[in-house]
Amino acid sequence: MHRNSLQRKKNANLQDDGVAIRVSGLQKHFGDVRAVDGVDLEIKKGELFGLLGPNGAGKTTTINLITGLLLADNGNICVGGFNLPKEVSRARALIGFCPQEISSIPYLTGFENAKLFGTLNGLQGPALKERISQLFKDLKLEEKARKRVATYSGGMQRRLNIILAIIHDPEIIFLDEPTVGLDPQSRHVVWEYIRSFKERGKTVVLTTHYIEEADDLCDRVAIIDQGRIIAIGTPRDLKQQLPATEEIEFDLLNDVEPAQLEGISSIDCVVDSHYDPGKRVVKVQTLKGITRINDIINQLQVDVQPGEIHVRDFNLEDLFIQLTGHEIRAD
Amino acid sequence: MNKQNVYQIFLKEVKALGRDKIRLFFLIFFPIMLMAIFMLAFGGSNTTKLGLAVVNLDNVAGKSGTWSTRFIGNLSAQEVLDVKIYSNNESAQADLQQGKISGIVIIPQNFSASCASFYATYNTSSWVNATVQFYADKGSAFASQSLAPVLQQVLLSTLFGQGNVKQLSVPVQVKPAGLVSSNTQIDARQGLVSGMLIYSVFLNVMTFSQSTVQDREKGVLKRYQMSRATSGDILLGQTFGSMVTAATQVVLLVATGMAFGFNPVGGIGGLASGILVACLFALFAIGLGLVIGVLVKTEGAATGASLSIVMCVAFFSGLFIPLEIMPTSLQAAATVFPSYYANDAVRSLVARGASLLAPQILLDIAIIFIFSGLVFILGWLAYRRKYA
Repeated sequence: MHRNSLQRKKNANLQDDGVAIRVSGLQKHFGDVRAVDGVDLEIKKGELFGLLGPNGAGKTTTINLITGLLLADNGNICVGGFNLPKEVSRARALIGFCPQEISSIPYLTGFENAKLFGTLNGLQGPALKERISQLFKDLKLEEKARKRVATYSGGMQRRLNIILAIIHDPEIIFLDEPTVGLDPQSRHVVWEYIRSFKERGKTVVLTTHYIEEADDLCDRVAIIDQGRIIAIGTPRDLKQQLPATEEIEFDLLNDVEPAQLEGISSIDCVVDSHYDPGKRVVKVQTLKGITRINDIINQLQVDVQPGEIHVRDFNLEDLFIQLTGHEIRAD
Repeated sequence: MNKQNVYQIFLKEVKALGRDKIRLFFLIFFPIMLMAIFMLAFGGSNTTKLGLAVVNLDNVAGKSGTWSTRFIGNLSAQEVLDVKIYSNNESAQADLQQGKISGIVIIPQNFSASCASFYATYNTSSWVNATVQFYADKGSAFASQSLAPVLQQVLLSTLFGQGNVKQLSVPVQVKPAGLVSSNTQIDARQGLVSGMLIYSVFLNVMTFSQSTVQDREKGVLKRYQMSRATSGDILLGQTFGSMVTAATQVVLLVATGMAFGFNPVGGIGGLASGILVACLFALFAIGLGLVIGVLVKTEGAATGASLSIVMCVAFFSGLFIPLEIMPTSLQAAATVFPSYYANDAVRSLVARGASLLAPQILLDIAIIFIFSGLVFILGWLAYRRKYA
């Protein structure tokens, strides 16, 4: 009864204008370091939103500010219709937060951890037990539920981290680097589960420095660097900001003259090209030019090693490099 | 305050004691081990003997004077002394410097004449004055502190006889009237058990500060912050849990002490009251641990700061080394530490058989309560400021 009325209240707050989180002019300094430098964001209800950037870009600080874990120096934050920091406790009732650290208690079992944080978030009795068993089942931790967390693998601890964040079925979920250090299998389980949030209408804010995570999972992505958002949009829209869609790499049997290389620029899909004489490799950036590979080879007038043509689709990392001049995983 | 929240945090703390091996070692096994060592070291029937050189200059025609012979006899009768007769001061001094003996007594030439004059007349101006000189090994706290009163006592018994001296031979610190009977004897174990109880409870400073830092580093504090639980719920649960830890510590320590022959003068009632006071003192330790945990940045810093404070306080509060043998300035300095009052109260309850309602004990409890309250409020405010 109480939970139902709370749910209605939660939904009412989120339904007023369809915006779950609204942030403007957000700033946070640590001494001389501008960790967050004028961030503006509007995240819609039910959206899976990614904050993509290298370590130290300001992603974690941004979500710590939005969740009220840190106080902003400047700016306005509104979460679920509640203004921070004034209405922080009301906003937090809507939020599930999964920190970057493995923030479970190692000497308790997974079940005990879930029970502890479920109780602290207002659940109890059979409803709590039911919720715990459902979550452990969904995240494939059932068999380990009664084991101490200290015995869990890194992947299991990450999954438990998510369970503890969403134990109270929050409307807005913040996941700070939820798949760091995970093996592919565990990462796949977590990704599937994050996708299921969207199906249930939850708003998810995800920070990551994994390109494929942002690309595959997120409805929209904000690329953040040095505390500033340098690009925002759907992964598709963002990638369209790039002049090329893919890079085609040819391993050659013989050398190429500069004139031959200039020749391929006459092909309409070719955006750029360059030759590495040391490796005898030509890299050609094209705009939807996969079907024109033969034209490129003919124009180059070279012999290509059999089976040595590689195509790499441009992704958000390429956009990041174009915008900032350095790689996301530079560290 | 939400009872469910408090209870869950309390459960977490209690489980931590049983499951966290480091905590279990520092809070339970280490104090028990220390207690067992102390009981073995200071218990049993072995008596420490001080080697005492006696140079008797009270000779008449090569024969010792009557009073000096009696004095030497009384010295030899002391269990604590191992008397050796030396013919001159030089050879005795050489042995003292080499640590072969702990002290030298030089009986002056006119010793017997002086004693005889005391009994011959009540007119003090007619007495033959004599001075017994003694040297003590400064490197031995026991020798330097205990030789003088022992010699004084033996001298009095030589002059007045054993029957009159008994009432003067009370090595107990005299407390205000009604608190303890002044003829109660305290063996070393009685004082040590009290000190150990306070010391082990005080170790909670370290574990509490460490767990606060660990929770912060692991992001558990963030989870608490994001939950609906208040900082009051969290701290109250942790405090109750730590109080249970403290109670477990003192009960196990007392049991260990008793297994090694400790028999509380205060009986079961005194023991129970002492345990109660020790648990109250745990509040101070928890509060201080909280302050340290909130202020320092790393677990190493928390451990270092806590251990430094614990060691200093253990020394200055007379937990292991009796304050009575320290200079008066240090004795005065000790009164600024709440552990001094905790030790005083527990010692009086357990080792002297004082009543829990005795004015001095109530005063001690009130002081511990004030200290604990202040430091706990300080810690709570610091915690709320950072993690609310």
